[in-house]
Amino acid sequence: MGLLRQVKDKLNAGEEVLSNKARFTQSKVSSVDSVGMMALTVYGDTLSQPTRAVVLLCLANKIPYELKVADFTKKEHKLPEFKELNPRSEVPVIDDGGFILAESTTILRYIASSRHLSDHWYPTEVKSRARVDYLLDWYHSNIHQTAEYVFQKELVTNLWKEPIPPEEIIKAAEQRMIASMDLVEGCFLKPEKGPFLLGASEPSIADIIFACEYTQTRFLVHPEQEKLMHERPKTMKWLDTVEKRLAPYFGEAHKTLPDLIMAAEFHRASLRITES
Amino acid sequence: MLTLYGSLRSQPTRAVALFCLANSIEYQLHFIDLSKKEHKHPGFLAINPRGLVPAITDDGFNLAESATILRYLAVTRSVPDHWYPADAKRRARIDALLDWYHTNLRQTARYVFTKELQETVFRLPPAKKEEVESYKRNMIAAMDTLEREFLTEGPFLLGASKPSIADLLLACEVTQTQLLKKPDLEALLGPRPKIRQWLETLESNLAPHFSTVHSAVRKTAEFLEKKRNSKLQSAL
Repeated sequence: MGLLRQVKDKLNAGEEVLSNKARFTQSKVSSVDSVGMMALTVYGDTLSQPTRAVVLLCLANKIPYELKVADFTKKEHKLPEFKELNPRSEVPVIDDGGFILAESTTILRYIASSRHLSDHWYPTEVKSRARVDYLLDWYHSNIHQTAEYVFQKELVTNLWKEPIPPEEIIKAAEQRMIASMDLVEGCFLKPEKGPFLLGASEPSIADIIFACEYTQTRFLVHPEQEKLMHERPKTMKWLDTVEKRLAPYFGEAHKTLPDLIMAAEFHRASLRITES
Repeated sequence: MLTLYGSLRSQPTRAVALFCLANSIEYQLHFIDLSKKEHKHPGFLAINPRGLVPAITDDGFNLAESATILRYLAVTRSVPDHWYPADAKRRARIDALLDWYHTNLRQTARYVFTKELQETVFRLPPAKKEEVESYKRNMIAAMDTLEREFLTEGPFLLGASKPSIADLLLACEVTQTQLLKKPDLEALLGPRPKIRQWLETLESNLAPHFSTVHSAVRKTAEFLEKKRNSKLQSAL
């Protein structure tokens, strides 16, 4: 009984953390200094890995931006006000001085091109660019299943507090995620050529969006996380390289995660206690 | 010499072939018979480890992913700007459609495959009813977005006056529905006049190539219709 009380208290504390986040109608200003107007607005939630990827690209390149949080735990992306911005409730969405754009991989390409970022992010040389485009296209039906699996397995119940989805849905996403991770480990990482995806010597926008997909596994229970990563040593090394190369921005883009992971863990624990 | 690996029965391969024909880009089609699992042969896997079609080899450079192939060809063959504009914002709009295609409109092909091709043509065990229904729901949602959002102004996607690579890729996905039973096709496209108009505009704008790349799908549609009729007759 005492243990249940402790868990409930911690769970409530976790929920308080969540409720302190500003709604997307208010704004959370980036940590980057802005000189003059901050033209780029990013709507989303860094709980969602494509939003994290966009934020990380901006931070790593000191692009002034303003993050307007659409709290995913409260399904704010489904609100009518959000649908005015994007009728399909997709996150992230950017507003670049009136130019509204959705689709994370498109947003990353657009930011790289319009802000004239260093070439390695989205190379101008046509074959190098094609290799990055290939990864970004492949991403959608493949490694993006990681987020889908994490969402169905853990987030639906532990953050949205809804009933557990059907076993077939979770299993299907898991299979696609594992097949994708195997392909990344077996084919897409060529450390003998270079430390980044497809043997590149510098990171591209593909490295950013893929890395944010892998970090989403932090929401899984530890043994499961361990198993996914430790079976894939090249992937572990690559992820570590990306994190170090983009320090301290990588950590900054992920800073909302620990509290959310804690809240999810406590909910999971409370479900186990009430079941027993 | 540009080699295109795939089958014109596959909708993204069609889109690449159509782009080449419309821009007089010489290519050689290396037919990969999916029903004979030729896409899993080692020779093909060496070009595309995922074993999916389409894939290209361009003077030794191997590339897969239809949207990527279209972008690559648009840039390397210096085609007219409207196919993949150089302007960052116009380009971003097309990129967004290409991305949306992956997660939304591609459910069309999955629905058509599981409903009409999986057993009959590919001789695989039938898909679960819930799976087919799920693809159907997603396909309908995507068609609604196409009709009510992306084709509100004509003649091409997002009100463009000339077609882009997104028009080709998305249209070739929609035309896969020709393989559905006639009543199902009518129920799907009947209430969506903007989609029908868009397809007609593409057909006349890209004549005769649009019709040429769709000959395989027409033949397959005829074959399926014959099979359905003969099943019906033997049941009577």
